[in-house]
Amino acid sequence: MKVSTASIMFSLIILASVTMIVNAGLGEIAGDLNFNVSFGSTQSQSLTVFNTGSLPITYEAILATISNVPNEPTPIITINPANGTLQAHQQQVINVTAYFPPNQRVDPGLSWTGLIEINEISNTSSQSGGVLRVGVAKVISVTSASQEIRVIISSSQPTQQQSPFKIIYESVGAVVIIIVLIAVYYIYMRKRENREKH
Amino acid sequence: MVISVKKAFFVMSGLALVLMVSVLLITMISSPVFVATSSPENVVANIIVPGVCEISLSSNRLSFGSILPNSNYSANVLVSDTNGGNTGAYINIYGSNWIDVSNSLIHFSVTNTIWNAIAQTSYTGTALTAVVANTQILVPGGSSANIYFGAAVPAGQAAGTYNQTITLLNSC
Repeated sequence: MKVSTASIMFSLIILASVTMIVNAGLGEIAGDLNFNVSFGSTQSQSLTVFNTGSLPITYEAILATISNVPNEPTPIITINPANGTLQAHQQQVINVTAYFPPNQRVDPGLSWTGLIEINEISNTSSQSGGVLRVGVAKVISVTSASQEIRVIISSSQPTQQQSPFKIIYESVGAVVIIIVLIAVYYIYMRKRENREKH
Repeated sequence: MVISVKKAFFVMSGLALVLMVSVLLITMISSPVFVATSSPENVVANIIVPGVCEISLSSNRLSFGSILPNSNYSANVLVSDTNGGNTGAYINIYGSNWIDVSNSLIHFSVTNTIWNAIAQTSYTGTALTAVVANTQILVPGGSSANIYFGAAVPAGQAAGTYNQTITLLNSC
C-alpha cells in the first residue's frame, strides 16, 4: 500500500490540531482586583474566566489566601458563583464582594492582600504519583477607607452653545422698542401741546 | 421758543420713563437663546481587547516511579505550562500531602516534593507547601515555561502507593 507524502502531512496536521484543541483550557482577563472599602459598606468587582477549549470545564472559585493585620478584623470576601461549568468557548463573570465584619471598627489606611483561585475540577486517580490540577489565580487587595459623606451634584442637561446671532437679535429688538416708545411718547406730547394751545 | 421749567421736567421725566420701560422690555424678551450642538455625522467604532492569560499543561500526571525510603528523585520531571493568552502570567503553586491510596491515614508531608525552574541532576529546589506560592516563573503570552519536580520519601515510610495533588495556577 502506497502512502503519499501529502497524506502523511495531512495526518500530522490533524494530529497537531487535535492536540492543540485538547490542551487549550482555562483563562482569565488580566488585572488585579483592588478594593477600597470603608467600615459598614461593601464593594463589588468582577473577574472574568473563560474556556478556550472544546470540552466543558467544571470549576470552583475559592479565596486561597488573605493576609492578616494584627489586632484588626480581616475583610470578608464573597465569591459568586463559587462554582459552575464553563462550556466550550464560553466566558463567565464572577462577582467578588469585600466588606468588613459588622460591629468591628477598622482603622482607615490598612491593606490586605490575597489570592482568589479558580480551579478546574478533575477526576482524581488512584495511580501513584502526583496529580496535577490547573487553574487561574487573581490577586486581590483590600484597603480600608475612611468613612465620608459625599454629595454628588450632577447635571443631566445636554451641552448647549449660545447662538452667535443672539446679540444681534437683542440689539435690533431693543432699538425697535425704544423707537416705538419714543414715537408713542412724542405723539402723546404733541397731542397734549395741541390740547393746551386750544 | 420758550420752554417752561415745568414742561422741560415733564419731557425729561417722560423720556426717563420710556427708557426704563425699554430696558424692562428688553430684559424680558432677551431670554437666552440656545442652539443645540449638532454632532458630526460620524460613527466611531471602538473595540477593547483585554489582556488575557490561559493555562494548559503538557501532562496532568507526574510519575516518580518507585522511590525507596530515605531516597529521592532528582528535580527533573518536566511539566510544561503553556499560556495561550496575550499577557504574561506567573505560575503559582501549592500541593497536598502524599497520601497512601489504600489508607488515607498513612501519609507524608507535601514538603517532600520540590520544584525548580531548571532541570536538576540532584534533589535540589524549593519545597512545595500547602499554601499557594508564586514561583516567579513567568509564562509569556503565547508561549510556554517549564517547571521541574522532584520527590523524596522519608526514612521508615510504610510501603504503599502514594498520591499527591499539585495545583498550578497561572495568574495575570
